[in-house]
Amino acid sequence: MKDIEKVEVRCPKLGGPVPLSYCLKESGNLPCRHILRCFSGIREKVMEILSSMYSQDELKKAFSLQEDPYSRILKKIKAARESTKA
Amino acid sequence: MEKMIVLPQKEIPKEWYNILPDLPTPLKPPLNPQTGEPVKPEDLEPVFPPPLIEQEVSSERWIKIPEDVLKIYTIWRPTPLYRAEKLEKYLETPAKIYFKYEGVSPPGSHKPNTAVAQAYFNKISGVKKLTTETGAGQWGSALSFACSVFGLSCTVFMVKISYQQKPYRRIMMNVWGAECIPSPSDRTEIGRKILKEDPDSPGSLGIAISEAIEEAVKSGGTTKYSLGSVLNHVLLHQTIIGLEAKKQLELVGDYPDIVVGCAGGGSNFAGLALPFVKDKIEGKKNPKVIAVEPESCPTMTQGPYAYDFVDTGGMTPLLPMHTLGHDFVPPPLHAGGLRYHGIAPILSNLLLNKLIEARAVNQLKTFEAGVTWARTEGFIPAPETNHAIAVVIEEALKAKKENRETVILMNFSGHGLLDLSAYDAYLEGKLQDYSLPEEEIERALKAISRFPKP
Repeated sequence: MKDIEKVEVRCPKLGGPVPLSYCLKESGNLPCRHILRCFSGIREKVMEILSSMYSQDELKKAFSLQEDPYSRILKKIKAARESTKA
Repeated sequence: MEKMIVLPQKEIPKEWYNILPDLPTPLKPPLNPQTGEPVKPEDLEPVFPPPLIEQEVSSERWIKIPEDVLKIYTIWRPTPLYRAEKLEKYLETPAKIYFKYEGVSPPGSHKPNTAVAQAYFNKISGVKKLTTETGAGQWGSALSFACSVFGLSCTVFMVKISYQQKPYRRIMMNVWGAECIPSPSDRTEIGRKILKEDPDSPGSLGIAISEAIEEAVKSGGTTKYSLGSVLNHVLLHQTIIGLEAKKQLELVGDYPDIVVGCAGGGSNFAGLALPFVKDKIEGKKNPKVIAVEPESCPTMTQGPYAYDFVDTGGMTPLLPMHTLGHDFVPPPLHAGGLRYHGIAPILSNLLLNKLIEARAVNQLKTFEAGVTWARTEGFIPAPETNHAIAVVIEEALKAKKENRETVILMNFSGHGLLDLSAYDAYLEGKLQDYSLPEEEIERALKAISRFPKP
């Protein structure tokens, strides 16, 4: 892990310290949507890392508008049902 | 001057306030992403019991609090309303600052107001076990407590990185008889899949939610899922906070000019604020109602960050919706789906109807406010509560400047006795503010101004 990925912030979602390496992959195989705000002091470097890790489409997906809570729940119900069938 | 305003237990509100019928514009029905049709109650039945789904969409203004729930509430409710006179003196402000202290509940926060109600409605629906996710552990511990009082089993999927960092909340859950599992786990398909790809995965809230929902869906109806914020029924249960506060303020002949709460998912803020928003809607009173959020994680005060990233990196074409400036408020007709997707739909609606306002505060300022509070009022606030305190101090100083006797009411959503490591980091100078300075936001917005507005 690069030194920069060890830089920590207090995550507003988890209520505890997390390293940049966590935020780079927080959302499944995507970065946390808040990563650029939380690390805005070192934003250029974070953007560089993100650009090397992800495609344009992946970044677009990561930073797109958040779904409403019902959609999120229904998608997870569907995923759970599909995993049962499989 | 009374320091602590106590409401007798016989005066505890017997109904929750449901704001849905009073909203100036109706909530846009959520759409099922699979069908594109409005969500039907049966869509949610795999995870929630019928009474909670009914409350989610109810058009009844007042919903009776069951006797069995009231009995449990009286372990700590009515919670005291305090006058923060030591802080007032310290700030030399003419403002009167009141705070509703929710830290007296067994888990130490406002969360059990809904956890107890949800456990009860699941119990009477024949449910045997509840599952949920937790980050810091505040919600997980509240639900563990609630399940223990109604004899339900409880499984909490705690994000692994938090599980390793925060043993005390996990121990609380275990003491109340719940199992607390680090997520991702081998209990679920999704957990096993993630662990196969990355055995050292530190987890995330998204993964923990997936695991909790999967366990409920696969139970055949004996297990349901419970959510601690955002949804309408959660905000409904929290309104007991504001209803009590109104009665307590009446006892001392006051009414707030300003109502303040911190807002992540929005439940504690809404709990205090909605009964006062009702007065605004009815034209009886006009308090300023402020939801405070972290500057690093803003869902209400700023649009998505995407445009700035995209523009500076020049990697993806801008979508029209990403060109919203921070002053742009979409018209109500388009409200539901456009800007405030990350927060409770009710709060999104109130923001768009200008019945509440939002403010963002940076991390260092919140801890500075929390320490000032502890050194004047004594209570050590939860880090989330510090956001509200920072704005209370701002408003009290503004009242001082204007020599105005403003009445400020704040929700003190929980104590911070299990968050002392965060205070330690602050006091040791280890906390850094990486959030974006205002001028940088302005620069970013200017940079995108060449793109067409929707």
